[in-house]
Amino acid sequence: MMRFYMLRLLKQKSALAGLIIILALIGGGICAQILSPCDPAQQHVVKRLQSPQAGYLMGTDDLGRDVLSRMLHGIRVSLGVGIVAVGIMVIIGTLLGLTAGYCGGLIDSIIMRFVDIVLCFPTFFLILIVIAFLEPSLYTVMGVIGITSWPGLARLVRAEVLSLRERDYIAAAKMLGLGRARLIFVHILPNVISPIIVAATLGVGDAILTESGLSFLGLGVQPPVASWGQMLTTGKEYIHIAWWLSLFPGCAILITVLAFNLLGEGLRNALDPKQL
Amino acid sequence: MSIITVHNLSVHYSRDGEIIPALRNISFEIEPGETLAIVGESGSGKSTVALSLMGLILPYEGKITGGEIIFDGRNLLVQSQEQWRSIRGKDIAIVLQDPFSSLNPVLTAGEQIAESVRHTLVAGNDIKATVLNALRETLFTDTERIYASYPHQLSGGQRQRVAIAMAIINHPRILIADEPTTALDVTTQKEVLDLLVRLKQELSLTMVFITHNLALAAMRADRVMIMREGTIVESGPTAAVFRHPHHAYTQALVAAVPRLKYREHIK
Repeated sequence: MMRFYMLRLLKQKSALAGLIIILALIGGGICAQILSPCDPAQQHVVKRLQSPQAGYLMGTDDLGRDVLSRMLHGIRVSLGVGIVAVGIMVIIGTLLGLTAGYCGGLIDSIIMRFVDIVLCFPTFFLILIVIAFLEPSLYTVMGVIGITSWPGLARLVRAEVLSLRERDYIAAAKMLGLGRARLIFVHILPNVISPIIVAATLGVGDAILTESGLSFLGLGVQPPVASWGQMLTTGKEYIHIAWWLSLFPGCAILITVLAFNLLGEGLRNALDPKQL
Repeated sequence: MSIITVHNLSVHYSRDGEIIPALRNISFEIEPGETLAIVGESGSGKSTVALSLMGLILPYEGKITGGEIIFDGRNLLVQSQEQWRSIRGKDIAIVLQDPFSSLNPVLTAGEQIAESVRHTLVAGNDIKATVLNALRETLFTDTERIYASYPHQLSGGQRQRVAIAMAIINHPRILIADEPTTALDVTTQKEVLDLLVRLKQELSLTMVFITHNLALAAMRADRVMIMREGTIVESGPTAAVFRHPHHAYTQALVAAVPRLKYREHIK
């Protein structure tokens, strides 16, 4: 089964491209320590704002730090935030969606009205408000993005469960005298796993974008930890004299988010029996 | 002494506030060891009888408005969900109509059958052995292969036999077969029917056979119960009902059976 879906995924060129970029990023992130030519926090004030050249492939920033090393270490932040935030989103969204869809009635109404309320707030401002009350840090950012991004997934899962609940095989499982938890987790959950995988993959891209935005505003990851969004903030001030400070982090965010979206789309096609 | 007594059972479904009666005050008894055929057209309430016996009239779809179902001396309709769960699959089991939709596509046949014994057996090996045994009882020869197959890898007849294995694995006292052959082609129908009859004898089951096919009912059942629009039109020993149908509807039904088949099976 896994092989079959893997082949269907790899047959799509754009998904394959996305997958390769993501694997390269993961590799780069893991090996950041080895691949980086310099310590990302090491300052050489004498060599500040050097343009890309041998020794500093992506140039140096306003404090003389090597941009390439900071980019590589930034992968860890971006992917880390993306994956942890999506993990939180998947857990909350799936559990609430399953509960609402399976239980129906009053419980469904309460959960879905709560979802509606959360969806009323523009997500980014909701995050800003939460960050304003908490200390901005890597972990706050992960948590806050996760906690604010689940309503869409909860709706998706609920809709799937509503249609599954009426299937004969769920009725058949009930007729075996199985308990509610077993029905939900063994018989229903595996049937909704593919839309969850797709939503999670697309969600990673979103989370990375949000983290970059927060860091750009100075509310995300705090220095000296290197993050692409924060590098963009620095780049903004020197954009007329040091293009490399904005170009590289900007492109990195673009490519990463694009890669996750391509992979997400590819997964959607591969897991959807009606496609291809 | 009957095994199940249904007394004045009424069920209605509601859709958008509109109330549609499905069963109107029906009463009947099932004797231990017999095969009772419930015959009726679509919408006559025969499947609702099955769902009521399983306690699975879903609250958001319908409601049992009156009556009682006496099983083992207690009224099933006043018991808790917990008590229902201890009966479903153990004392009363069911085979559904369409084997293409009654098996979960993401679980292997073995895993699905194992679900019904998971609470009674503990050790993993016991479970697998029991499942393989149930597959043998439903006349599979390559049980190991079937155990590891997903539903989409099996044919319609094989799927229905897996569903039957799932129903009989706990050796229930009552087996309800809700149009178990309607979705199958003719040769497979016979195979599945023969299997059900055989299992009924081997495991001394009481069988409730729900069908819209009068000829099938005539062939396999000790007693028939003709239903229409939520009421029991006529019931009695198969031969008597078919030879001397009292009610106009039954007469029309019997007359509608192709002559040749009818003679052959009613003799």
